[in-house]
Amino acid sequence: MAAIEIRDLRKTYRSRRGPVAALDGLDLDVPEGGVFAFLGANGAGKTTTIRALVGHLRATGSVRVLGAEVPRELPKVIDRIGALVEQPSFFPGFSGHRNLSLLARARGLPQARVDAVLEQVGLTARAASRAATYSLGMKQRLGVAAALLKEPAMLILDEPANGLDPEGIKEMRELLRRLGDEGRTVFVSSHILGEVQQLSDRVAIVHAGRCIATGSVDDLLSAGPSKFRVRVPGDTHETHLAAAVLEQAGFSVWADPHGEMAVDVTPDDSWRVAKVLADAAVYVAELSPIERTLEQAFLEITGGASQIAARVPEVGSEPGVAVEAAPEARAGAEGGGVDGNDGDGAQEPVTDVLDYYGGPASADATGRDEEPDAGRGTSGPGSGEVGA
Amino acid sequence: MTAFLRLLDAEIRRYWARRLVRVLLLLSLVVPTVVVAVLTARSSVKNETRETFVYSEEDCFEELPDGSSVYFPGCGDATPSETTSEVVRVDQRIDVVDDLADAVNGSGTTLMFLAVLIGASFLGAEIGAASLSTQLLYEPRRTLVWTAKAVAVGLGSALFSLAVLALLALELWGGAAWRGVVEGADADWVVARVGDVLRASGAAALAGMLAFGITGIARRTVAAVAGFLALGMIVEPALYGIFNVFDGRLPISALFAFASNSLSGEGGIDGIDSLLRAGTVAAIWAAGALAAGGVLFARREVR
Repeated sequence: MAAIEIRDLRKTYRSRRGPVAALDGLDLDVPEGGVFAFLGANGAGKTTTIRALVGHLRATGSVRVLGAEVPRELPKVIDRIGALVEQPSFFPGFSGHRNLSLLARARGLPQARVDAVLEQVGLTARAASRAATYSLGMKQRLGVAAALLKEPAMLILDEPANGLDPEGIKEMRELLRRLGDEGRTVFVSSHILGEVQQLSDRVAIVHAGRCIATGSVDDLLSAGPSKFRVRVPGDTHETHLAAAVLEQAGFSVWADPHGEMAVDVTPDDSWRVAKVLADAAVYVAELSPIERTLEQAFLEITGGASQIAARVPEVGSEPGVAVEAAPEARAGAEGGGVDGNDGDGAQEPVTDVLDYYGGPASADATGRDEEPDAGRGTSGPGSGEVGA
Repeated sequence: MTAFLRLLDAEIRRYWARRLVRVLLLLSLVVPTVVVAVLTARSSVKNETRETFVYSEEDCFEELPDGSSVYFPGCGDATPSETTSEVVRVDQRIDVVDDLADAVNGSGTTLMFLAVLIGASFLGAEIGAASLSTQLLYEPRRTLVWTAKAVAVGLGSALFSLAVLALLALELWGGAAWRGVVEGADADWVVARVGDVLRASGAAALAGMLAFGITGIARRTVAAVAGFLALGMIVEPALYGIFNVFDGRLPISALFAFASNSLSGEGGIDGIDSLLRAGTVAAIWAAGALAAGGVLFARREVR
């Protein structure tokens, strides 16, 4: 049984500009146990999803948490769910201890649990202070303490590291990891992708109200085009020469004016890079795989309609990772393609998405600079500068 | 313990833990104590000699052209032509039989307004702090949460008033027994005064719950209190003046009549001829406000 099962969840808010779809048919399965990260940009629908999970808002579709249908059967399982939704809200005139104590009484929990969770989140020293005097980080800790009070089998945490200092973020990561290792299900939304990468077992990415990718962190990182760093001896002229050679051999190449170069190639085919260059009398000083970070994977997947449209079949074909095109991307692809993709399924390099060397190239696959960025002074793959 | 009783336990504790409640309770206990202490200190019977000025009547006559004269009582520039003195018996003793009923009825109105303030802010402060969302993570059955809060407000307001009025009664009794009059305070009188205290406490409970319900609709303490006052001071008098059909059927005047024992007649509320009617009308309105607020609370999305 999945700890969380969401089907076709839809929620539309009214605004002055008309209805805004916060959730647009979201589907999600979260397995029991471990840490599951729920990622998405601001406004992607993370908090709306979490509020629907705990019955705070009405949405259409089906939501089941620990097997119980939300909101109808939520009371049956609420004792097994601890949650932190958005910024934790407590009665400001009461101390942190009293706020938790009242929550504990409402569920008939022993008062000793209050001291225990305050200790767990490092708030014992300020437990008697009014919640109104707490910093954002302390409020966040109190919110996590409230979520832990019930010793829940499942934790639903919305940006738990919000407002925490680096030490607090580390402590939070260790706490959540420990809870996940204990067999609890920790469902956590976060913007801090570096933390998520270290913390999570599985990840889902939500974009424009839909879940567009889900899988294990490792699968997500290994999905998408594999890139290798190529370094050749000599100056930038040698680099550009090597880039031109590789391009001519059919590789997608990314090069910058400082002599850094990356090439799209699978590990199994990486020897071909060395061979092609050697055949052209260009010798390789370094050929090493570039490890993607979760942040890069996230940006790649949510990077925009054009990138998504171009990438979907490629990334989605990786084992263990389910990727769905973002809505605008689907629209773009179905509409005959965007940004050079003619929509016939032909793959074109997406070299403008991943910025492995600190400066995005802005050329499309044909080697044209669409939006030259003079400030960065980069040249795209196969641009006119390469090999000139 | 059932889920509701656990919630009620938490809500009652929340009620009494609020600083506003504690400060108002302290003031409500201290002020009557001081007043009764002063009354007790002054409680005495004494004979006072009072001087009475006798004005010369001729100074107050003015002759008119036709030969008649007009008398001006208390004429301005007259000077006392004679002073007499008389001994007057001044009784400043606390008479518990008369004074306690007046004190309970008067205090009942004040306590009713305090209950409004506390009842409205009990919910308003939670809406303002958004702490309801955290509570609903512990008990998602909103009707249960709403009911527990409303009952806590009712019980809290009643206990608040009961404590203040009981102290007032004890102090007044003590003062009267020490330096005043307790004659006539028989068993029937005691029963009647206990009834007064319970009625005034009930009025405070109804007022608190009515204000709580209005806050559930208005979502702000200030709006609820202002609405309560506007109803009592502007809307209801205006409706009574225009349409007789509303006589004795509007909430604030019914509450006021119930709290202060002001029935139809001189100084009373039109159309409210019995305490039972006043209490029933107030209870119906409080129940209506709670129901409306509860429906909105159950339907609204919580932030």
